Amino acid sequence: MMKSQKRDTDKPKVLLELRNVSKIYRIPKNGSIVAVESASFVVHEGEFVTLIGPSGCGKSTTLRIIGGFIKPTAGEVYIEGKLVNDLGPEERNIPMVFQNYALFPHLTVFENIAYGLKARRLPSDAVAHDVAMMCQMLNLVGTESRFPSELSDGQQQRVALARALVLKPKILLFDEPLSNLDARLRIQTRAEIKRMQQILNITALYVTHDQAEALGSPDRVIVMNNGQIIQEGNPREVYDRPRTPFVADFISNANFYDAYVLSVGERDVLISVQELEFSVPLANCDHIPARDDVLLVAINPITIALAPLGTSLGQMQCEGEIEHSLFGGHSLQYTVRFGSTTIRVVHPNIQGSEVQYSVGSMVSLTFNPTSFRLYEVKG
Amino acid sequence: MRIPALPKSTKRSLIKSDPVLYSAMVAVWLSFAVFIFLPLLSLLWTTFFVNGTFSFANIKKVWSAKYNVRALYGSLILATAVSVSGTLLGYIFALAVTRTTLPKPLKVLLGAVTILPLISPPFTSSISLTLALGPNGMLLKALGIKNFSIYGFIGIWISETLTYFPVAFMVISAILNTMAATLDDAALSLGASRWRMLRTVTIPLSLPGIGNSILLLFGASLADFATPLILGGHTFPVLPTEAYLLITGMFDLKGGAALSFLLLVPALVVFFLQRQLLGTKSFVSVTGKNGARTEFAQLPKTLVVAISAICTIMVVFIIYLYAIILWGSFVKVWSVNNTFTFEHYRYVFKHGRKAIGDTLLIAFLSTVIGSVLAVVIGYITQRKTFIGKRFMEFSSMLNYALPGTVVGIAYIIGFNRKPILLTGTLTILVAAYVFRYYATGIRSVVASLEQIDPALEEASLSLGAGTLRTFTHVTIPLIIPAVFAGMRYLFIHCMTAISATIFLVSVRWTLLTTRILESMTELQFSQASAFSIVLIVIVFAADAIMHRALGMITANFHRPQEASYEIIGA
Repeated sequence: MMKSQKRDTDKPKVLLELRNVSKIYRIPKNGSIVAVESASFVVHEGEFVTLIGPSGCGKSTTLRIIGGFIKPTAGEVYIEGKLVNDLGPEERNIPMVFQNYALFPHLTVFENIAYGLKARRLPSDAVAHDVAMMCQMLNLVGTESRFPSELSDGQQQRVALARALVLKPKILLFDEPLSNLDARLRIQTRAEIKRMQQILNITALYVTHDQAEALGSPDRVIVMNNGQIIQEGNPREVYDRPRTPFVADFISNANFYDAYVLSVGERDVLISVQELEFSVPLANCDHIPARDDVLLVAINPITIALAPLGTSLGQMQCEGEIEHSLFGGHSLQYTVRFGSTTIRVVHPNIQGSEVQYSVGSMVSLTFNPTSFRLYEVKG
Repeated sequence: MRIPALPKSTKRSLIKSDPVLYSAMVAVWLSFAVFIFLPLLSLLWTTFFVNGTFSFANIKKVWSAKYNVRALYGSLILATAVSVSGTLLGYIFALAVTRTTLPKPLKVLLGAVTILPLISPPFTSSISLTLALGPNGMLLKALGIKNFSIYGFIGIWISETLTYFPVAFMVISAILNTMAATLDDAALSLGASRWRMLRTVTIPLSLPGIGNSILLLFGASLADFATPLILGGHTFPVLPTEAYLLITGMFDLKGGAALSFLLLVPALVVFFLQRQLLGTKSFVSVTGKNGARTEFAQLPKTLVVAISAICTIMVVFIIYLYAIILWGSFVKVWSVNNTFTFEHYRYVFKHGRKAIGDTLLIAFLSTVIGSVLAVVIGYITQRKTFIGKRFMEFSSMLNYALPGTVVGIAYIIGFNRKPILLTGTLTILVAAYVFRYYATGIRSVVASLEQIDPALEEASLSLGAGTLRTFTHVTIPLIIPAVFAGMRYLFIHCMTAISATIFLVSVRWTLLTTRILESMTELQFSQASAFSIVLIVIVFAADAIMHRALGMITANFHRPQEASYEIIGA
């Protein structure tokens, strides 16, 4: 599997494909629950794809359907073009890295990593060789004869990774593998996973509910909500151009306001928000609006600039009063009152800059209307 | 919301998709059909069908005899009394062990003493009570009490309380132990007195344990056969002994069946109540949110003194009773000729050798077969979903829930004619033990599986191991402690239980417990004592061996918590 870095420049091969996969749980008395509704997507060879959504959105169910632990109610799952609906997990060769590691407590580190190889009846010297190599790559040398309970959290996580990687799988599934680690270890392990994925050129599908995790490493992000796939694209795209209010809220924690359409031009829409007027590119709107429509505008908190009163940073500005401030390490989060409402602003915490606004002080807010998203109000 | 239709292609029959599970299910249902449903249906048939037509004639006949009605009331009164006194005593012991600062060795002694009645043959306390408080009883003589008769309600009540309170102790101490100690602290810090804390926090939270204990003891006393047979006599008849005497004394199978039906009804009621209780209440308050484990708060001082006094008296009394048996086995004729002799042991090893061999063989076979079945049934009912799962669970517990007398009578009726003629065989004895006492094994396997994250098995599957390999390489090693725990109880029950198998023994296959009963009815107290001691020693030794074996197997890894006390249902 150590295929070097050579990648075909032409169309990448589709390794995994879901076609209209649904999972419906029937509850004896109360009808049914739709856990996944008609989900379709593909994962290409060598790709790192994350599946993100709030808890209960169906992402884990989707992953478990792919893993073979749950049978879909409808739809098809293809691995390398082969329909695998009827194959059990042991026949699919797509190991999963579990949220709580699921290391076998009665086996040593060596035996845990060797488990899948032995199940495939590999000769013992080949097993020993592969396990040793994995231990080296994942910095587990010296722990081979220990039991999982004698390892640190990070080591356990690496054993779980090694156990799956040693099988040189076509696809590796991750089910929120970092949620049990502390913040620092999480960042470290995330980097480790990404590194291994690149070195071994592994295709990975990664489920998480953590935005930073979802956006940090992948080639592509799939956002799910209520059992449906809402948006799919590279992280930048999803972050900058959330397709629905849900995505804007979930991924960037956007501010939402009613926007009154004053006029619709050829390339721009003129809207009024809280008695301020903004000209927003028509491309940022999810439909063609008409004059006098009321839309929903999403404003990402990091696109708003704060400055001491009187300082001019651009044209689209107004005055506001700091109502709350929250120190968050890398950034400062403010709630600013302007007009009759408030807005959340995330301000980078730049080393050395002494600027920190105290509660009650007046500031000038500068907006960037080219980053606004406009949505049709539904229902 | 639009619901996609079920595609036909994804449906595969179980026989193809999981042949191992399929064959296991077929085997389990088949064994249930033969060894659980067939005998029970035969019993009902014999009770309610006279010459092929449905009739209450048998029940009426039994009911018309005043003596039998007295037996029914006797059974119910006795069971009520024992469940209350046993639970109270068990609660006191549990408080002593979990909530006092008595010295550690003393607590260990308390625990050890409560183990004794559990592993002894069911006659032990009856025998020693007879020796102590019976005619010419030592204790009566020593205390100068006259006109006291151990025979009757009082004797049975004392003896059964002594025999069954350990069950209450285990159920209740398990729940007292798992209670969050911070709740005690919270009560005290909010200004409650220690009495108030006990009344408003400790006792209410242990109510499920108390309820479960009362039901368990009620069922156990209702089903107990050995004690009333020895201590009841004609003054206090109960249903199991009446049924036994009808069948073995008068060869009245129909009457016996009808009587055991009367016994079956309250037993089933208790069984359903217990399922209800355990099914709805979350039994433990382990939240996983507690930080460092804090100590439980101290009980009120006067209560500690009272508890200590009661426990001391009980411990001394129990040790005294066992000492009497030991002593009794070494004297020529109890309280007549107290010279030391090995005569009785020579008798046991000469004339009782066959019984010892048979008992060991039967117990060994039953333990092995029962454990395998328990693992299979426990696994498929806990981990798999299929139609009829609840019914399988229920059926597997049925023989266990019914009084042994009922099961015994059902077995002789069910297997005394073709096509399945098993009367007098080894098979019928082993089957009776297996399908009655593997229930503890199933429970401990289920309890253990509940604590094992299914992700472990999924991990194994996703790493490419098949269903069977996953079962043998991951599941089995993880539940082995629970399997052994179940095995220990299975073995102990097979060595000591008598209520069902008393109907099934024959010249070809006999049991140590029936030899004890024979010795008792011939008033050979010393022989009975010697048999009892031998039996207790064998059980102890076997238990120690199994404990060691388990230790060796699991020494290598930190195993999940061993299935706890609750599974011991006596």
